[in-house]
Parts: sequence; C-alpha cells; structure tokens
Amino acid sequence: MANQLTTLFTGRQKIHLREVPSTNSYLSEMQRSERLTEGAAVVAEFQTHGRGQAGNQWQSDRGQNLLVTFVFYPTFLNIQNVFLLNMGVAVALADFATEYLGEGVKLKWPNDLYYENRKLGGVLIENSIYDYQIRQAIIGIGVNVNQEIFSNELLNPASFKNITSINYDLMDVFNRLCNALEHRYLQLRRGEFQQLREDYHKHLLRHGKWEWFETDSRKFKGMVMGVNAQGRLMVQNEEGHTEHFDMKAIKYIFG
Amino acid sequence: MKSKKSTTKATAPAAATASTMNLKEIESLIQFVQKSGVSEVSLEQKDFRIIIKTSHGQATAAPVMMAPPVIHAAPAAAAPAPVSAPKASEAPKASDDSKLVTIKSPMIGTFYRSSTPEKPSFVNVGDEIKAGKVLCIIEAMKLFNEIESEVSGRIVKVLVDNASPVEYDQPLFLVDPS
Repeated sequence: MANQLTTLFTGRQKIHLREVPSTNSYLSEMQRSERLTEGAAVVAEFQTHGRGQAGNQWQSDRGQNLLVTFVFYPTFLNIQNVFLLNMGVAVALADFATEYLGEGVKLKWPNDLYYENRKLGGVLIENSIYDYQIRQAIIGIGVNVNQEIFSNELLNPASFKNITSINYDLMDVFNRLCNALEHRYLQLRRGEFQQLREDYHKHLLRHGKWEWFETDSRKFKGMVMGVNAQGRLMVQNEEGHTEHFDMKAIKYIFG
Repeated sequence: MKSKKSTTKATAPAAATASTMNLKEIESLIQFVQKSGVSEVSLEQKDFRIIIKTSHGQATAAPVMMAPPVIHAAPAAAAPAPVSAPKASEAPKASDDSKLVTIKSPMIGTFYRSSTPEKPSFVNVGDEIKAGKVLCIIEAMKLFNEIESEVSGRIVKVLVDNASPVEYDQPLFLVDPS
C-alpha cells in the first residue's frame, strides 16, 4: 500500500522514456511548446548525457536506477529563500531513502543523498527567474537503486541494493519519491521553513561531528554547524572560529 | 565635394597687410569652419593659401567613434559599471543612455553567460532580445538560475565577466529597449 502514489499532483503526469540525453533538458525543451502541469515528471531508463554538478557526468546503468525530472512552479517562494527549494528537495530525498534504508541516510550539503559516507544520488535544480520570481523549477533527481557495480569514481558510490541486497521495483520507488516530494513541497508552500530547516539539519552529513575538510589553502579539522540562509555551509574549526563556505570553497575529505 | 569656395580679400585686411595668418587666427578660422557646417573653405592671399576641409558626416561620425572605448572599458571595471554608465562626458549621448534599462542580479551567486563552457553565450552585445529570453545563469549552491529578460530590446553592454561572483541587485546587462 505504501508503494502507491498518494499525491495530488506530483508524478500524476508522467512521461516515460527508454533513452534520452538528459531528463532535465528534455523537460526543459517540452516546456517551450507546452506548459506541463505542476509535478509532471519525465522518467528515463537511460541517459546518454546525464548531468551532475558542475558538468560532471552522471553514470547510470540502463534500467537500474531512478532518473527523473519534475517541474514545479514555486512562484510563492521569495527569491531570497531560493535555497529552501534545495532544502525541501533534499529532505524529501532523505525521507524517501530512509523508508528503504533506515538510519544512516544523510544529506551532504547542499543536496546530495548519502548513506553514511557513500553517495546514493544527487539533485540538479534549474530555475527560471523572471522579475525576481521563480517562474519554474526543473528538478532532476538521480538515485542509485539496483545497480551493483560502479566504475571507480572519486565519490564512493552506492545503491539501495548495495546496502540491503534487495532488488527494487522502480515504479514503486518512483511512487514513494513522488509522495515524499509532494509532502515537502506543500510544506514549503505553507511557509513551514523552520520545520524544513530542522529536518534538513537532522540529516546533514557531519553535523556536529569533527571531520576533515579541505580548502584551496589548507586542510583542517572542522565541525558542520549548519547551513545559513544563503545556503552557505557553516564550519567551525578547532580554534572555535566558524566560517561560512560557498560551494566551491570547501571540499569534504573522506578517509 | 567642394560646396563652397570663398576668396576673402575683403574680410581679411589685417592678414592682407601681414601677408600671413598667425596661429591664433588659423585656430579660430578652423573653429568657424567647423561650426558653419561647410565642407571646405579655401582662403588665398598674395603668397599665402589655406584650405580647411571638414568631413561633412563628422557630426554623426564622432559619437560612433566615441562609443567603442566606453564598451571596452566596461568589462575591466565590472563592479563600478553603473557609475560609469551615465557617461557624463558625452553630452550628446546622455539622453540616449537614460533610456537604457539595467538588468540586475536577483540573487547572490556566480554569473555564467552560457549553460556550459562549450556552449555559446545566451546573449551578446548587439543581440535583439525579447522579454523572457534567457540572459545568463546565476549559480548558487548548486541551484542553476536562468535569468530571463523582463524587457525587449537590444543588448548594449554586458557588465560582468563570465564566471565571476555577483551580489544581489548588481547590474548585469544594459538593454536599449527602443
């Protein structure tokens, strides 16, 4: 029962593709000719040019994982709070993954899905801004589900199956993701920002833990204190001083 | 085209006696010719002859000549661009500039002129754009925000270098909406 789609709009309209360069690009192209209903999804079995952060290729074996892009119209969200969109999607991913994997599901700032120190998936959000308003948000999500072997990467990847040894029905996985996403999206729409922030921090990797980080100039031991309103990562060093970091300004050292 | 030739025996009695013109007189004559709008003046005396030619299209050509240095200067001084934008020194163009629309950054982030480094810029100087056209991406914490133009017109200036950080409300583009 829990695997059924219980949403009002998220994932109700669904376009299923065998193969596509990128689900984000495909949905973005569709939006030029027709405006899809809010929560519409493009799902692909295989992406030839799947995109990760900063142009990194997202590698995924055919038919093994969840590759989906949704469109939302968060015009209600003040542009100063745009990072909450990241938080909302990330928390939804954590909710969803926790249903399968339980404790150990983490969010690596800003919006990667982890299981302990292993990367399960990621998010790529592309907004269209017109007159200081978020006209549309194209939210691409990739989650490793059934793939067992990964080409060696910097990030230590993992799938649901790597952790539980269970093979999952991708339709069920899609439905659960939609349910989780809509729940958090409605929370965002209701303005329940504090709740989102708290839940995000609950899952935040290295929150309150001493671990190693790296900047352009140094390696240091630090503790994640949280994420500020602009979305910058706040890390305290051993001298007790807290710095706020931009995306490219800090790296996590996994050991 | 020689629109006018004047042999001015009558108007230059002083010069006539001296047989030459001094530098001051030549300067003022040049200024006079420029103001008059004629294309050429030839002045001849006993053993002295001066021909002053002006390019008839000069009045319109000058601002065109003056504009490019301003455009080149802007990228180097990306941040203070709004200050230099009014171009007070160029009196004839001031009225035109006041019509330009400044497109500002709606957020803090990193400014990108194209979706990926290999792809061409969304817009370039001189491009005609319509409202809704994507101008740039402001990336902030892995959110890629495509900034769409609110005005139609022509891109006059790009005020920020690719891949540089921008602040909230920092001017990004100048657009001539006419």
